[in-house]
Amino acid sequence: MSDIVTTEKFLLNEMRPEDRLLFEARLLVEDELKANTVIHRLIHRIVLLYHRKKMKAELDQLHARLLNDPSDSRLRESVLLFKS
Amino acid sequence: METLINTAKRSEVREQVLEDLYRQAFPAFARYASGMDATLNDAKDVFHDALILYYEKTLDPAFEVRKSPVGYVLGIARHLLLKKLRIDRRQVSFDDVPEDIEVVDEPNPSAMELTLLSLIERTGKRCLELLSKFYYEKASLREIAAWLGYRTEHSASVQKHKCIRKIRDEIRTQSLQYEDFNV
Repeated sequence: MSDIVTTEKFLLNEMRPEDRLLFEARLLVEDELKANTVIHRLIHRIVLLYHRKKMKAELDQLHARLLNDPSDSRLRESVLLFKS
Repeated sequence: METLINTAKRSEVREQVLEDLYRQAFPAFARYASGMDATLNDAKDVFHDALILYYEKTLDPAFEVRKSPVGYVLGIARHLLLKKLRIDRRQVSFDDVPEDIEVVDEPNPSAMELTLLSLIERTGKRCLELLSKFYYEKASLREIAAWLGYRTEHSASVQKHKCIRKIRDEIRTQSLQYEDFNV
């Protein structure tokens, strides 16, 4: 588990400069650590894509709700500008 | 209980900020996009991407808003729309891109990333949710512990690292099956 904790700190830029230097040196010589770091970075990317997907769904719902908001017609009028 | 309320409050604030931005910025962007002959769906997609990018920017403590949030979102949305139209029609130039908006052009998700996302959504959704709360909703370990029903932050931290290991093992298994994963 300790390598996961260390790699997480490295990827989140939460390491002291001297620890970062040491970690970078280990990456040069430890193939296993290097492979795990590549995968760990990929996990961050997958979580980012997951979060974006979730936000997109929320924004689609918001768009639909605002289109039907009787107190504010600006959004409804703006969608009429597009050619159907 | 208090931390759950904090989490709910932060989520409410985030939703309200996005809604206000939507109400203020979308009509102006719709005028611009319709003038460029974009479809409503394209305009909506691009606008949503711009809101998401803006939200992600605000998570960075070093981020400084040099113009109003509405101006910022409109700048990103115009940039993304022009990029999309250029790719779709291969004819619009980039001359119209606002210069004062710093937009990092990220690569689109690769097929491998989308395959992994879909796989992990099936096998480790709770872990994805936990990590997403930590990285992109800036939930503290205390809040994550409350969400998980744990008593201590330490337990939440252990769970977070277990999740990373679980997903890492999953990816490693996949990389053995598909050469193009190449990890």
